Amino acid sequence: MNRILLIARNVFRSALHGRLVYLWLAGIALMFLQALPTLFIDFGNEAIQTVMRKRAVTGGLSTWSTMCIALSIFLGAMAVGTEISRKTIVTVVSRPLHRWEFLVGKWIGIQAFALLSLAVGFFVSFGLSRYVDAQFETRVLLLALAHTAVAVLLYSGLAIALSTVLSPGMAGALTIIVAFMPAVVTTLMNNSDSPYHEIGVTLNYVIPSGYNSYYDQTIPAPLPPGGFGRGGRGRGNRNAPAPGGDIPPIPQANTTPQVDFPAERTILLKNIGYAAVFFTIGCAIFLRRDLRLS
Amino acid sequence: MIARVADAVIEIEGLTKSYRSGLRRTPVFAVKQLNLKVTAGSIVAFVGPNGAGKTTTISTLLGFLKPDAGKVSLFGKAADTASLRRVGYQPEIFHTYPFYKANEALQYYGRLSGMSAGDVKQAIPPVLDRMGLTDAANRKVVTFSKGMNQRLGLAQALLHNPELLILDEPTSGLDPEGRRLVLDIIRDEKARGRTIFLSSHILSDVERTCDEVVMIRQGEVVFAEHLSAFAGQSQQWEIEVFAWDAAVKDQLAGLDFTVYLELGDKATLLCPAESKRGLLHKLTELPVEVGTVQRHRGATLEDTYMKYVGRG
Repeated sequence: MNRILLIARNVFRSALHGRLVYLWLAGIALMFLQALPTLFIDFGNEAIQTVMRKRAVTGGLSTWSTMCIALSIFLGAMAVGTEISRKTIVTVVSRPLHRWEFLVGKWIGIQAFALLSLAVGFFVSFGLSRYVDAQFETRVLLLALAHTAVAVLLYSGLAIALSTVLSPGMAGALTIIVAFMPAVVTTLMNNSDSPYHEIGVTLNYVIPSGYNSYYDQTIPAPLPPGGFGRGGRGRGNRNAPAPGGDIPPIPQANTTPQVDFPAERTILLKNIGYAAVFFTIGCAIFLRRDLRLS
Repeated sequence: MIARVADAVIEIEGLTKSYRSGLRRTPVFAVKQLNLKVTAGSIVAFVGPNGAGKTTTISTLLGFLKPDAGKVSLFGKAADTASLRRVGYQPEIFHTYPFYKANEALQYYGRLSGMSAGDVKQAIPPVLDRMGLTDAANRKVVTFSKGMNQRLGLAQALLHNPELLILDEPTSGLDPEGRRLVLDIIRDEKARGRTIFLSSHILSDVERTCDEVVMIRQGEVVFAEHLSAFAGQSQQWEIEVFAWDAAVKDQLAGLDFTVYLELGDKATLLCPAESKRGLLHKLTELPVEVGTVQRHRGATLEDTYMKYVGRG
């Protein structure tokens, strides 16, 4: 266990020192800066102002969590290939260490880094929620965070497994494809044409359900009756009706949360199962593969 | 616990390893039917040109590569966590994580080798001192010169006090001072009872430090001998003779000598030290001129290398 934690700590330090992580942090900072005007601009309507502010907070947290998942894919894809290309793996696997311990350490380190990033994002959002005087819906928030954590587990596990045989670029690209596949699988399954439907059904066994984001429901933000109403004409929207005119109401996406918790729990458990299977296959391959040094 | 002197620390029997390349996945043999045995307490040099199969053999020993055929064992069993705990390995070029300082890197490798945090802390200063890296203990390894990096590579191999040291080109990239330091450390480790298996291109280093030499060419062992065998041949003397012909040779019949070299009317005779005086006395009575008289150099390690491994 000590050796696994040593590897994990090394991954964590390595991630902190990687230049791309600073670009990632800069990207997140920019996204938050993008949300900041919404927090401070006066919309002239207190009800609208409140809704926009709440949505800025949940939107920021949603973006942050997506970036955490992207980071975990990136770090997972580089886990083995980079160690081999830089030959740093040589002085590690020549020690009394099982190869699976090396991979588990990598996995834990990536989880730790991504989840710590998520925690930072959460605390920033929590601070902003206090500023706009909004309350998180605890159950939905926990579900949303659990989805992110499981997605980090799933996609980093898959990326690590692929990195045992593929280059970092290929491993990352394939993982991203798998992450976007659930929508394709659903479309194929809903297709009435036999071959497409069957392909969809087959893929449904291989492709995990993936990530569902519930962050937009973590702070209930119902729109006032009549939507934006007076003064809701957006800047630059020339087709918008004149102030005081009729504006079609915005869909009430952020009213009371509508979440099927038992179904989501099942999806989460299935995703964990897929993560375990992908990672185990990766370990089995890595145990057998040659590590060429020259 | 140090293995007994007669024990085989490394044993390789019939090792064959190939790599597949190209679209047809044609196998290219890196090592073919290689046999090797390294006994406890000895320093064995593994010598051969680039691409001869040295690194492949070492990689198979350490479990990085799976053999196609044959058996590889460390301390009597296949490389596993228990046997690797007793091994220190220095790669040809030591690569570590750029964010580490020297002592942090050693802490990491020491802990991975199964040392406790306390033991690692105690072991690091003396090892850094031996390597002449004490002043660089808190410097990031990314700022190290190539020589310093190599010495840090040796430090991480020695840190956990292993019984067997596997060193891949340990003096590569070192200046003369660094080379001498490393060779002294290798000899010190031998004196402490360690077994050392090193691959090298530098034959003078091998002559100065090793007990045995194993030469490999195109994946096959072509020569294996104790280095003492090379020193033994220098007990003979060479006598250069001019105006040499068959009649002179007949006149010398009955004396203890051999004709080492004949080029036209010049010959080099080889005789044991005790026959030298008699042979020279006889030659002065004959119509020949005696040239240089010197101790026979014998076949050096370099001569042997060129004979078995060299392309010439």
